[in-house]
Amino acid sequence: MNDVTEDCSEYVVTANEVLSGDTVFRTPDEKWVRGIDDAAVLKCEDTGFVALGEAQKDEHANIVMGAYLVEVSRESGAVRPVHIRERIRALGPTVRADLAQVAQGFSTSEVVDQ
Amino acid sequence: MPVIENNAFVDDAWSHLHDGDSATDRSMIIVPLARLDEALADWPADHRGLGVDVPNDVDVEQLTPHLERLDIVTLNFPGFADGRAFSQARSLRHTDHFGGTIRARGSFLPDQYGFLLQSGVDSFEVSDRFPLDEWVRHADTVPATYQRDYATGGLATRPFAEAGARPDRPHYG
Amino acid sequence: MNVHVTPEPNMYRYDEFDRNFVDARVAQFRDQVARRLDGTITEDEFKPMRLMNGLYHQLHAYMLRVAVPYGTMSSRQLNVLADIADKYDRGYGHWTTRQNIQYNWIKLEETADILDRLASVEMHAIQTSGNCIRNTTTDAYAGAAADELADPRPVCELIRQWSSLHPEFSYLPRKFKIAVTGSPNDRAAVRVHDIGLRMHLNEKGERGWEVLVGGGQGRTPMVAVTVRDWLAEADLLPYLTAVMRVYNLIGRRDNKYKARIKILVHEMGAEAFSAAVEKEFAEAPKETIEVDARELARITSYFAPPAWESLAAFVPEIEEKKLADRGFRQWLAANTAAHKVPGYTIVNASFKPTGGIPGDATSGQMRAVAKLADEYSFGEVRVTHAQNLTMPHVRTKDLIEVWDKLKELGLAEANIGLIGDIISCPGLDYCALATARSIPVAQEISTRFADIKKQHDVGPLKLNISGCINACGHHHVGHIGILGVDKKGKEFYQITLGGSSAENASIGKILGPGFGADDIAGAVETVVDTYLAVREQGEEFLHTYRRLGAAPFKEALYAGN
Ligand code: HEM
Ligand code: SF4
Repeated sequence: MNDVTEDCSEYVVTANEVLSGDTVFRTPDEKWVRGIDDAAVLKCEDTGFVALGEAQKDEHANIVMGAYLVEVSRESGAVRPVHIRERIRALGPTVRADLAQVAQGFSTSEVVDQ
Repeated sequence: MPVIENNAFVDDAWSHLHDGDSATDRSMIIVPLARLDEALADWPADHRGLGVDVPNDVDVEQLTPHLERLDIVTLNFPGFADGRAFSQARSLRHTDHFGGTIRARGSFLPDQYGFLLQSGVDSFEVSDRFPLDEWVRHADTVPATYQRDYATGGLATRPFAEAGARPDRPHYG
Repeated sequence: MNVHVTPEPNMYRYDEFDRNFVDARVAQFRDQVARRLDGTITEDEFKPMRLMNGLYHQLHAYMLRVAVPYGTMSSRQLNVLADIADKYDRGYGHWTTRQNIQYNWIKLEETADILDRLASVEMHAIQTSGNCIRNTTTDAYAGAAADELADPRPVCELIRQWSSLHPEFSYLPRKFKIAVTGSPNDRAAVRVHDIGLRMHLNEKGERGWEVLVGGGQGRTPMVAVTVRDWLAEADLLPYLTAVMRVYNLIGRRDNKYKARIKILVHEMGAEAFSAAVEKEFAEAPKETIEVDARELARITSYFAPPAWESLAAFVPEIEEKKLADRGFRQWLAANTAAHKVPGYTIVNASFKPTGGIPGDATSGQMRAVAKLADEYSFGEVRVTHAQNLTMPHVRTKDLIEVWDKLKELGLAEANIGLIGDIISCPGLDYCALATARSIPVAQEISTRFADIKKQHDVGPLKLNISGCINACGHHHVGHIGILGVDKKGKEFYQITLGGSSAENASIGKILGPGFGADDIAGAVETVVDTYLAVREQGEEFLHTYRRLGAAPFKEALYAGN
């Protein structure tokens, strides 16, 4: 086991729902939601992979597909992906503020802004 | 492995020649392409029951001179998306008019059954993953084809228009 | 009072055979979805099946690509595309460079219903993706253009039918795209397609086809080579079959980036490739030839020209308006094209508003264009390869009215073929493969060039943007191309110059180091300003670049660094 040090990154588990295709995140009580704000934040990759392993059971059950870990950081308290691709995926297209996850009622914070 | 022919499971009369086995005096035997010359040389010209297994990166034209003496050619699907065997089958059937059995082996899917039949394959070595019905119904999930000269079984093809006939103009439903 | 009637344009119509075929394909897809959901087949197995029916999974949701075969549709069909956008998507769609429309927010569970709705107006998503023969594209002005030899669409329809669910060619090494032009002025980018077909006429006035093979974009862009100067029309399908057979059998499958036919042609050499095709063509039995002629005659009869009125080519009102109104003059110069019949004009609706998203169309815009087409263009609409819509047959005397109405709709930006008419792929805002965003770059550039007068001063200039090396936004063949890349987690943009997808096709060359997101629009301005400073009288951007090369542009952009 790695030491859990201060500078160890945080992760959330994401996937896409098979039926809708929507981007979804894994919550602390092992459900899937559309808003990243409700995702379980996992400290360090090791913890992340354990949660991912659990989540992948839902892939076998054909509920979600393509589960993986996304590195996040805290921005003014909100959980946000570090990489721009994952930010757009979590928050919606930057060119259609009206279609962003927040505008769809799934998330609470800003649209991708980098 | 189960074999499907004419939409039914059949007893497979063929066996594959294994490394080290001799092809001489055998019958109902499928030899690897690499040993075809040897088998043909060993066998009297009128001896039947010889087949060849052909990898999918081989030009089947090299079989042309020997097709007369072959009763089965087996073609391979290393993955279901690797569609070379469709063209190999078509060449054997359509260009070379091979009248023997063409058998598909490997990891093709029931959804490809119809296209395989249309390309000239008439024998299918399958796993037991899917029941027979699942194969058979895919012979005509789309019961029509635009490729008149590939059509098999009961597939519909478009009747030819009379020369100069005005096409009917149906209205949107 | 005018009662709104929906004219039925002369275009291919399904007969019972076509209808049964498409309905069965939809039912088959519905069944495949059910088997994916009950676990009978895996996602890995389902993926090629859904792709062959146009269903991708992108960054946010499923994406459905619907074919507009060879770019021709009726107003009735366009209205259904609008209905689908409202009912199953979020009220809009995206015109692609290959005459398709993409919906970005589709649900798997609703896809078969969408396909049923499409089938009800003789449309489908068959082979709009996957490693099979894709939607055949052609000149958006087909059947209308003054410069065409003959309408290429009957041959496109022939190819559509021949390629639909082809039993032998549905599991190719890679995707396969065919484009056809009936005009010497290539508006269909045939030289950057896997197969390009160019119509020619011989001394007897018979039609034949030049066959080009091995063009393409993506990470190894190539211009197609001619493998046949003249192919009799009756031999078209047997010859295409021979090309496909060679490709299917010996095209590379070991590396997906080397699996396109362009790599095969390149590695074999054009002569050896052509010899292999000729051999296949000679050996295969050709009982289909006669069939083609009958089939082609049947199809051609659907494309009979509309009932032209006999009209004066010269309309004094229009000439006066041209003199009096600069806006109209600019619009006429950029957004209309010469029609083959006197008194008619080809009119483009620009889906490139200043600062807008190139190629995006709302359901409201779709319905509005459909209505205009009913009133002014025999109910007929086209999708162009530059992501706009065209009304092919507008009476010249109606142009002022049509202009006014397009202006009200925000579709009259006088920028077709100019720098504001940017081709852009969806980029990182939608696409799972993207390395950078492309839409915001297009928006920024078009805002900087908002002044239409300046755009007209600059003249013909194609600016194309892709969000990754797959080159869906045609950056390789833009006069100015922009490619978005990822540099250490930041968006970065490379400029290429000198590409063209027209009859003088060429692949653009990378100019030098790339630019950050904040600097790319400024860099494009510098390139354009440099061109304005060095061009000769009346010289287009591409010609200036070809005359002077990259040096003056490099100098302007990088000197002092
Ligand atoms: C958003 C989902 C899309 C995905 C995943 C996608 C994927 C790809 C890929 C992987 C290639 C490279 C093929 C190769 O090099 O072998 C490609 C090429 C291309 N795509 Fe897309 N594409 C998408 C959207 C679009 C759109 C929106 C357009 C039109 C605006 C488009 C038009 C093209 C064209 C014209 C090419 C280059 C021609 C060629 O195949 O050589 N694609 N696409
Ligand atoms: S060029 Fe790249 S980013 Fe743009 S649509 Fe194609 S695959 Fe996506």
